[in-house]
Amino acid sequence: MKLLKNIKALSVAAAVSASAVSGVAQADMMKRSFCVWDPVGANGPLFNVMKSAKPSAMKWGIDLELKAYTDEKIAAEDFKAGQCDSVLLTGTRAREFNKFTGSLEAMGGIPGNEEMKMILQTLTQPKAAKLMKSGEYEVAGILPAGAIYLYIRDRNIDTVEELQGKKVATLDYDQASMTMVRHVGASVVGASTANFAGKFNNGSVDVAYAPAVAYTPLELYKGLGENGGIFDFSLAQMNFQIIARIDRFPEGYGQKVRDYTATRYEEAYKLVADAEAEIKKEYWMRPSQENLEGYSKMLQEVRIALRDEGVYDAKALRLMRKVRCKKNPTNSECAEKRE
Amino acid sequence: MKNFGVIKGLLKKSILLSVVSLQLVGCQTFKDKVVYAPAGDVMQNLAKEHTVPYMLGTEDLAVSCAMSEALSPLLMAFGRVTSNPDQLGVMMGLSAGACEEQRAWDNELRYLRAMRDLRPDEAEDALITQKRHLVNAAKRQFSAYNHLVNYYGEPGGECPDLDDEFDQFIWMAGMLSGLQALNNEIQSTTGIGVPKNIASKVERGTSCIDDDLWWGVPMAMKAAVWAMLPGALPQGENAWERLETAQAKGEDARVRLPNVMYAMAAFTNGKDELVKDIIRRHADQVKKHPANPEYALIDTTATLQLQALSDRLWTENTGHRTPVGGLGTFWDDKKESNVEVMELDDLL
Repeated sequence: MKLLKNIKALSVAAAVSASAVSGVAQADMMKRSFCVWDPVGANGPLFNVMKSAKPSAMKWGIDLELKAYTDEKIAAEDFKAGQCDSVLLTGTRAREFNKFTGSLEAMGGIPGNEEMKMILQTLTQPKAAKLMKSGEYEVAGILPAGAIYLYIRDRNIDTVEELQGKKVATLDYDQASMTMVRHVGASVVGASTANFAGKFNNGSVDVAYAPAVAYTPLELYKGLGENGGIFDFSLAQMNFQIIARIDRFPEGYGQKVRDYTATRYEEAYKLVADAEAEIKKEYWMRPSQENLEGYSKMLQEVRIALRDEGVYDAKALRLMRKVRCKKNPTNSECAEKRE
Repeated sequence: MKNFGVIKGLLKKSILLSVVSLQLVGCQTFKDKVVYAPAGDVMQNLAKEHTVPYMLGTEDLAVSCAMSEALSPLLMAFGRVTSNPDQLGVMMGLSAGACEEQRAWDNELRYLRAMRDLRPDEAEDALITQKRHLVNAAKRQFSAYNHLVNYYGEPGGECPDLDDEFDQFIWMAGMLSGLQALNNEIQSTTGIGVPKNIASKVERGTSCIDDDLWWGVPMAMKAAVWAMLPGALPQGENAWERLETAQAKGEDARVRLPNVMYAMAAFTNGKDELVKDIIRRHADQVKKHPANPEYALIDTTATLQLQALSDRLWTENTGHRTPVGGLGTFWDDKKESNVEVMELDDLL
């Protein structure tokens, strides 16, 4: 009988403490919104990757409510207006919330995956947190999306000089891209992520730029046809950034999300590698070493000009230069240190 | 006599040759060609002429799904001895994929309940399990799509000869499998090699079959791709208007599959109220007008797919799935009653 009493007492105690725990958890849980830009919407790849983060966020006391946006501009505007507590955008769009991380997509800043990995790892360190914060915003994670390449309908245009007068589908909200296109003497044809592929495929532009992950779904091979080619030179490293309003989340949330994001890098790189493998080998145009060096120099000049104009962040350019020089210490820029 | 000698010699040689060649080809080839191949042809024809039409006329999706899971290896193995049963492969893959989709849905609901109850470990486990099922579903559906490609060629280019209704039906089922494979691969966040251009190819391939004959499904598929793939909408087109027209065609034919594409497109675009309206209308139509008996299974499939969407919405908002008999109703519906109420004041 005594045993039975003890068991009863124990189970009552267990029930009380369980309800107390769940009561505390319920009270402590913050409901916060997360607006995710995904060109496909709620069934899209980015939205689904972010959905996987919800249980982890809950463990940190945040009940994230995800909302899909197919229009990146509206997602950014809603975030700015306070309708979203956090948001997922491309690095270029993120520039208005954090100039440092928003400059990681700077042209020619990061030549390849290895350098990108080094930068991401560097920025995941807790001591990098200061760079992640800017005013009322904090960058709570960066996901790599691979190199941006130049797609050309006529592969005879195989040097930058020959781009003169050619029509380039250009993201018109990005001052850096506009400057670059004008710098090489090409003409800007305003485009968005939703319509650039159509313009390229139907011939209303001669040139477009996009990451490899866009090649198959948007059928860019149609615009390339028999005569087109893809310039094997990384114009920039595209990335997605999670940005949070600092005052809407508890202290340390940004770092936790950055650590979580770091666990997804390999997955992201696999997606990029799979997408690059789908590109027909004959499309790749390999510029000569001499030309490559010339392009790198040209992009450097554009970066410095854009930095001086206030578009790119000087610290970000310096970090990228340091990473490039870590890999290739003999580069002339490593001694010059202009960035 | 001289001739006889020659004939005898030839006979001897040919017997010798036969013995040698029999030894070479072995007993297996004999069994394959004489025993299994005709049996395979019979099985294939039986399945094509009777099993598929019979199953399409039934309403029990679970039975059809179990049959596909169990019989796929048996039927597909005949591809080793006779012509590849690609057309059946399309049906088997699509149907067996649906079994895995069903399991994935259950885990999506478990995930949603766990999130509501603030149990993140359970939620995470449910998500992982869901993704495993989605990967299996995508693989099966992608194999169905590959059978389509083997038999008819890749959709999106020139239309193949789709002589009879069976060919057209398989063409439609194969393209549906392709779209489902892509969608499930994306949901699983695991790359299994489904080419990302299937959506664009299917969008073009739907023009190879008659929209009126196939209950508006071809246009519904096309318009769903327009609504979901960035930049796919041709100038001057309106995906939502097309989806509405397709919905009406499905209702007229009492094979209401276009509703699924309509609801998926609406859900992806965050139009939750439209999703609810489509489900309400579907439930109402199903009550009033029974399914076309020839394609009852497809109409039931549409109802179950919409029920899955409804379950997701119900679970998110109430913690449980759509109540029994409650498809087409929602937790926040305003209850209106026509029954008169008695005055109680003098009794109180």
